[in-house]
Amino acid sequence: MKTFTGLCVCPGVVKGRLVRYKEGREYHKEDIVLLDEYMTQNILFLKNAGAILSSTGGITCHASLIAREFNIPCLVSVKGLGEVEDNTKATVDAAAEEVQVHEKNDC
Amino acid sequence: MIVDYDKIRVFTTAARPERKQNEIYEIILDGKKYWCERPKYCWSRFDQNLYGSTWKKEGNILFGEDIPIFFDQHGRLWCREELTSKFLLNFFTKNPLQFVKVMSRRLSNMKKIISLIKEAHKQIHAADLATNRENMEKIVVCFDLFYDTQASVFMLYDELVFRFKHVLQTVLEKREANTYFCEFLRAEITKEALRLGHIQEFGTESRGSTYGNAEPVIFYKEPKIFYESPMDISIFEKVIKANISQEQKDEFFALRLIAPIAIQINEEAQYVESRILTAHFRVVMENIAALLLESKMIKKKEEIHEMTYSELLYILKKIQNKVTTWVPQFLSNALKTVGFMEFGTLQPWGWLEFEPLFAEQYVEKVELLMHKAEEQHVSIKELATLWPTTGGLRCQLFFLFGILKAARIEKERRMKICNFFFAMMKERAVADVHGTVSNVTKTKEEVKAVVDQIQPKRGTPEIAKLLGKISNAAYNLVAGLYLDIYLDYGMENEGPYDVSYIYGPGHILVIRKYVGLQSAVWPKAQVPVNDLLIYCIYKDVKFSCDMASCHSVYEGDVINNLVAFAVVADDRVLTEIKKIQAALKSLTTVCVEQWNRLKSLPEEEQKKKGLFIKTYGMRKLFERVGMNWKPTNEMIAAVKNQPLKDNTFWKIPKENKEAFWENIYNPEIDFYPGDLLSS
Repeated sequence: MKTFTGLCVCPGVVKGRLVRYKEGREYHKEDIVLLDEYMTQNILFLKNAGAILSSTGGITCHASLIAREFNIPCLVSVKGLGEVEDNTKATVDAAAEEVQVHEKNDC
Repeated sequence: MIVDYDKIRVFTTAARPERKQNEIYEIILDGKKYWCERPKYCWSRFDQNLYGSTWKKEGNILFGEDIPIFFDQHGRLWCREELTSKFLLNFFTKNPLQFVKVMSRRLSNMKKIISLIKEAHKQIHAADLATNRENMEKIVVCFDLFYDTQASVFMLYDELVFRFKHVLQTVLEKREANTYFCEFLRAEITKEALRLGHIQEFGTESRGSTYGNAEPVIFYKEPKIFYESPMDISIFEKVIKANISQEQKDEFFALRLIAPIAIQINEEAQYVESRILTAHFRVVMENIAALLLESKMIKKKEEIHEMTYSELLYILKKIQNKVTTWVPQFLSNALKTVGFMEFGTLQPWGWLEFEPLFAEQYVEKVELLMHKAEEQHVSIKELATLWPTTGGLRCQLFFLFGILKAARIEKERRMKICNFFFAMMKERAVADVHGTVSNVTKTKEEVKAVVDQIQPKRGTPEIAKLLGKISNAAYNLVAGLYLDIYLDYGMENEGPYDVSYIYGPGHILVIRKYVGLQSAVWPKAQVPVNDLLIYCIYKDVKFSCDMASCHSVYEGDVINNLVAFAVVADDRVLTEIKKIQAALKSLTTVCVEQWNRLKSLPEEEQKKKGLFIKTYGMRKLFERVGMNWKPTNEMIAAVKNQPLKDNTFWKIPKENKEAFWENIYNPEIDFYPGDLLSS
């Protein structure tokens, strides 16, 4: 289990799988979406996602306020998730500003 | 201002992510600290001019005093310490009600902005210059209202919110602190933008006045000045009981009050800036650039960003008010004709020596004429007919250029008077309004009617010579009556008129006019005729003249090619040679007498006569609106016992004289007697 940190812009706890953002893809509540481009229009496609983790952005970005408005648990400035493979299991506790990424062998 | 970049200190702030620029530049100037908090933004000359004045207001709004800001050589904005995020964070957490007050003021400004932008929005895609200029001016007012608290709204924002989050985490457990913090991470404008589908970022790094590259829209929802949370009461209790200093508790409550307002206001500001203000302004500026390109005022659309707002506005007004576009052409003509004359060229003196003496008082008289004409609804067309000659009107307009500068009349007033004169000139001239090569004041039909009426007789070389002599005598008489400088009141050459449709190919008509010879200024001069008109029809002769139509050039044989002629004295056509010879004799006699009369006058009397001649030429205009044509007592007093002006007044440089005169005479330029060319 590896722990990553970020800055909380919307609280909430979500257990699910990490998926990289791809335009046009449909997202569900178990998807913890990894974003490199933290833009408002991207957030619009994530209304149904479980959580958002952005490697960039800050707490005062437009996108943060959109995520907050949609009430999607969200952390920004999360570093180090670039190497993690898609579909890796993870738990996000946004208020605690923590992301726990499960190792492949973890249950 | 030039900033020495070797002397700046660069550091970063944790409050802003890298993408949003986290670098801050600092420099010490005259012992004071200056910060550049947005080093990636380099403002264009246009934006510096547009924003600079409104950004400077913030010092007075917050502290009641000017706090310096400046743009460096790269266009970066630098603010003195008091307008930096660090200083303002400390100031507002100590004075939170001051923040509320400033933001309430902004709320009021925002209502005005939305109202103004709605007006501009109605015709935002208009193609005409007038509408685009109006829109531009409206949006500039919006910018002025929008940015007068830019440091408090934009610069401070990230630091303030970051600090709030930090203070919460100091006092509360992290999870609770973040949950509580996120309660306030909302804005009314975000809800509205979502509702209307106006959510989209365009990733531009620019923050210039036209960076909003989306289709302009208008949406707005008032921010909440007090944002409540269901967690408030329990959090407040925890903070009050917490084992922290009173200062920390005060900071918490200050931030709790102002941070949610800052979030509301900043979020609103960013939407208004990107989707409303700069998006509308971009469209307007693109329209204006296209129009300037079309009218060849610029070569590339981008050039408008290198002008200041004032320069752009001036150009637009100039294009829009086509009357003012006459100045360069008229001035160029006038300067070729008489403009570079200096002291001592004319007798007894020229306008440079004489007219500055009464310039201010003369302007007042002319302005009264304009006012009365407007009040009495006397048309420009009618006034134009009341000038004795068209050349006289042209010359008086040129003299006005010097008079207005000598009297140091401000530009708007200058242009109003000049435009009034030029409007009359346009009415008066049928073609070649500026009198570049001709002096055409009759239509083809009018020429035909005149020829039919006077029935010209066949010309001979003897007649041609006689007409030359009588013209010469009349010219000299006019010079004696009107002096060299106001000669054009009393004489002009009219034409050339093509009369080939009457006389066959190659025939022209030139009219030599000597008018107002029985001048009320010289009651003792016994001139036998008031108006003497000499009609000459030539074959294969070319005639041209300049702005002062008395400066005429004939090409061809004017003696042998005089086909027909007529001499008209006060509406009587003189056909007999004897009568013309008698008229010549008489004119020659009175001419000599008049010059003796003029020369025998003491200088003071000559000056007074000069004043009377100046206003006599416009007597019919003054009388038409019920004014006395004579110079006012103020004009007379201004001239009395005053020495003529010399170079101690004008201060003509030894070099670049032509440039000096071009600046002096151009009413569109604020350059006055005594000014140095470099200024």
